[in-house]
Amino acid sequence: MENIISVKNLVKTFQIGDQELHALNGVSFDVRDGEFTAIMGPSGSGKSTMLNLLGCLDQPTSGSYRFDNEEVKELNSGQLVKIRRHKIGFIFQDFNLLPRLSALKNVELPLIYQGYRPKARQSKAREMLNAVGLERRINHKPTQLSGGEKQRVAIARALVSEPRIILADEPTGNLDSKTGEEILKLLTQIHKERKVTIVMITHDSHIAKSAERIIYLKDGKIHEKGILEVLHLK
Amino acid sequence: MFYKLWENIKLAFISIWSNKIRALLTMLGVIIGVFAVVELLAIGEGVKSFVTKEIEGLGSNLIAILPGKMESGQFNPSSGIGVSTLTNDDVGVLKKDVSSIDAVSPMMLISSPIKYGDKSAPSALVLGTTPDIFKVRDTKLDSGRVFEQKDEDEKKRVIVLGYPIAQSIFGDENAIGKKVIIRGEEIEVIGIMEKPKQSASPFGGPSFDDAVYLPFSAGKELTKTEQVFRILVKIKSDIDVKDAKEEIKKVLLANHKDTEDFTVFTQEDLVDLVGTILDVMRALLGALGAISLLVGGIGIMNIMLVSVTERTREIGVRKAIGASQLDILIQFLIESLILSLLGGGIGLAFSFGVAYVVKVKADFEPVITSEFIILAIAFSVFIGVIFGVAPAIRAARLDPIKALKYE
Repeated sequence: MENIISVKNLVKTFQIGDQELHALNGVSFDVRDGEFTAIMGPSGSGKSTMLNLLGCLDQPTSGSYRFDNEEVKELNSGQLVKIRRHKIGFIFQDFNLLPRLSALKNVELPLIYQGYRPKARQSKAREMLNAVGLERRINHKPTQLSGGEKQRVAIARALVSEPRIILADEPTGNLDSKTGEEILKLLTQIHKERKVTIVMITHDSHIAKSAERIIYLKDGKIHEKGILEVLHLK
Repeated sequence: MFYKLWENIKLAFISIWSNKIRALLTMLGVIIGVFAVVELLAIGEGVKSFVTKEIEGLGSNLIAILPGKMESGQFNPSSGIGVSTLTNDDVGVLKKDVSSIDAVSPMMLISSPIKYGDKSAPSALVLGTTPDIFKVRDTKLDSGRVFEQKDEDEKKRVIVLGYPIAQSIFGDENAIGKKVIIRGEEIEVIGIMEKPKQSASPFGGPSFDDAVYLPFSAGKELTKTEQVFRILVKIKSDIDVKDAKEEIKKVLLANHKDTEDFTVFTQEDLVDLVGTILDVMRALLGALGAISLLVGGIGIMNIMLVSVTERTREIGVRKAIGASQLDILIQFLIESLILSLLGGGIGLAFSFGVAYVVKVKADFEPVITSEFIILAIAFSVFIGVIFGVAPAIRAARLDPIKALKYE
């Protein structure tokens, strides 16, 4: 299977005052199409920076990031927007639903930016909300939904534009363990049924183990021992 | 693109609706501004049409000749005071030489109150004139008669009163045959003019309704001078007013040895003159309204900036899921545009409401023309865009990573 993500020697440096902070310091890995990968690591390991780069929200300081056979560094901001719009679906730790819009409208949002007609948009969004088990909640506002339900809406929103990859940033981080398990199950199920590539960021080894593969980051580098530790726990 | 735009408009309404009170307060500046501009312009327009009607009500095909030269529509103050450059001789020459004249009469201002017993009418405009004046002004009588050429020739002490003056002196008493005192002489009332149709000018100043007329010859003896402060001309109805004006000017110039020390003034000139004065007034009032619009615009900018800050996270999410900078810019621009358009619309509605109330209650009609409506809408759009751009640009430029982390 071909690689959807190919990262080589990726470096991201932040200037904080006089000091240079190497959030990522030469990271290389590939993600194959259809894979469910977890990027794991303690806080400050660079996993959030990694997610921003993978999500085309940011550009690396050096190194190469090929996404779907395109060198991201060579793309302008307009092209980055198009990649985010059509090929990437985001799931956030704190859901990030728009509070004033109904669940349905929230799921429709990416399709609005894709220029879908209202009817097509609605039926697609409905279908997706059905798929995550929220067919009875489509007209509820985020404040009327539980944490698990909110995350389901967010997953539906990420899936609705049929992206090449889903980037999930601590998707269970704000949920109790039971609900977290459910969301994780949903993600695994979606991955299996829809053959969607998922890259999930987590600091929780238990969560990470539900992925097919783990990349362990520490101090901006891939830490092979860390993976072993995680697997040892398995 | 169209669907996106439509979504943005719906979204703007959702956002405005979810902050009703704040939106209303924000719009208040624009509401007041648009209301002020439109209402003041409408009142100006109303005054203009009122005055125009008044002037036209003086009688058709009327030309006035004033002493002194008036430059490009400006009143020459010296024309109102000092020795008049017009004489009764001018009246004779005009009558003889200008074929288009139907009637012409001089006017002598006799500054004196009218007394009757212990009553007097200080507001009366006492004018010495020839019988032609009744033709010129198309006078209709309430009672009695007007004076004739015979009265003029015999220097009869007779007077025709304006209806309001007769009312103020005699009340319901029959005035005909009674004697009033002007400059110490007894003068017999022979006629009372018809009650004026329109109410007197609401802007003060002497009105021709308050005029009283006595024969020019008698006036000459009363004042012992021959001051013609105005000549009124009525031209034949089939003659073009402009042609008549030129002819009168030519004849008078010849009679004045080529010195243009007079002004020939048509109704149109007078309407124009009033128009220029009112335009200045309107411009001033409009500028005042525009200032409140400016304040309203700043209010909108302020709230939009707050709104951008409040919705930083939303902007981050939108960008992450595929909104371009332009999408965000348009979203916020449309919101400020709708905010200010709503304000403009409400302001406009208020203007119509107040104009209606004024019309019903005050016997005066503010005129809201379609130009004012367009102006109000254009102003609102302008305000919305100008003061919405800065917040919208700020929103569009937000870094999605920072925006997503914003608490």
